[in-house]
Amino acid sequence: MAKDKQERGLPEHDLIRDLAALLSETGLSEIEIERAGLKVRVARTITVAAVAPSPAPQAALATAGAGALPAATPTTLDLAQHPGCVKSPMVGTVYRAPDPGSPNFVDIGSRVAQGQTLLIIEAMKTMNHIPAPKSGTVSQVLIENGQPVEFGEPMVVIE
Amino acid sequence: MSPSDPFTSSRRLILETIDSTNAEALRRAMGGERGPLWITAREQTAGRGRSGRAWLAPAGTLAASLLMAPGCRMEDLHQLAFVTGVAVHEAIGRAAGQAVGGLRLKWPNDILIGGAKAGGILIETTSAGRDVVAVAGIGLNVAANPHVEGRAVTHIASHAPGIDVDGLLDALDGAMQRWLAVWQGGAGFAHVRSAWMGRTGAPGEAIFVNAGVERIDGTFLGIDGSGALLLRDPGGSIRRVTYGDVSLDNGSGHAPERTIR
Repeated sequence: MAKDKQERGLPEHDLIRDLAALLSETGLSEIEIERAGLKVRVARTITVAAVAPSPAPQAALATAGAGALPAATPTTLDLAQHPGCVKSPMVGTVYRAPDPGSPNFVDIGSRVAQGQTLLIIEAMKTMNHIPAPKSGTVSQVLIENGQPVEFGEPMVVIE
Repeated sequence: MSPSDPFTSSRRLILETIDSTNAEALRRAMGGERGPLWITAREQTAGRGRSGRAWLAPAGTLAASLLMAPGCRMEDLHQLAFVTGVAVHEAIGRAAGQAVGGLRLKWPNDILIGGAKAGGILIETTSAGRDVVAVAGIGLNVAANPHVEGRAVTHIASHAPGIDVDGLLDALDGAMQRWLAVWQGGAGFAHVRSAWMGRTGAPGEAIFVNAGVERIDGTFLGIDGSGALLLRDPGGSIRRVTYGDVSLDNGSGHAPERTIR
């Protein structure tokens, strides 16, 4: 089914499979390579494993490598639809604490008030504080300190 | 408002002591303040530089933050560093009543005199609902400067006697208003960019950038239409830099800033 289609239809299949295997092997959350006009980013959301209602995609990733890779994307998309999902308003680098020696602004389980800073996105040396759009409890943190984020990328979920 | 007009002053909140004028401005922004409002303090107990670096502010330094609704797109917020830089450069000249020799800007947010650091800018933003609020934090060594191991630091009064903190704040207020009007929430960035280029090093100057794991050597070319630093590396390629610490490779012992992460 999906696997066959993938193997025949995607010329970069082997490359992605290799990267996904490398991802599992190294325990990294993301690998991005760029060459000759081709840019491939393979990512998995490590934090999800602890809290996602269905751990199936994560387990498959560990055992089947690239075969499970497409499953990671729908997970992120589903989160983007979540009413409590805070998405990045810009491209930049995300910081979870005001400075390297301080505790994180929020962690999973943190109670937050509307307007409270959840994280900072640095873009061109400007520090953009991202506030909680509503009060609640942080149920998921989808980014890691120092990680690059894209526009619209889900970062935090508040229940 | 034409540049020759006397400025109409923005509201000012003058505090004796505060953790950081930027932090206070951000708190007030979350409380509904939309500015323009200057927040200044005679003493900052926890002044901030970029990425949490402490900003040292002994007596004789100016700490001022302008809280404003910038009216720009999110992706253009960083342009405020250049708007503020040009305004600070102009304000120092006005308050000094003369051109200050060696006064220049360094990408993206430093103020140098003769290659030594005389001040810095830290732009921070937050949002409340659909409103984006920006805070332009300005720290200037006016009558005194902190001593930082391994760094060339100076203060403005040693190059322009007679300059004082209050006069400089007045000049800053006028200059920020003028350059924000030129900028027009991003539509006028080309003018700001051109003014900034006229107040920084000459193209061809040798610089290097400490960008985390990578050090990029090259010659300064300028900034592009979005404010990114452009340099030509030894191989002849043009590199576009959006982060990192820039140092002037002029043998003045101007060591790169400590990179925390």
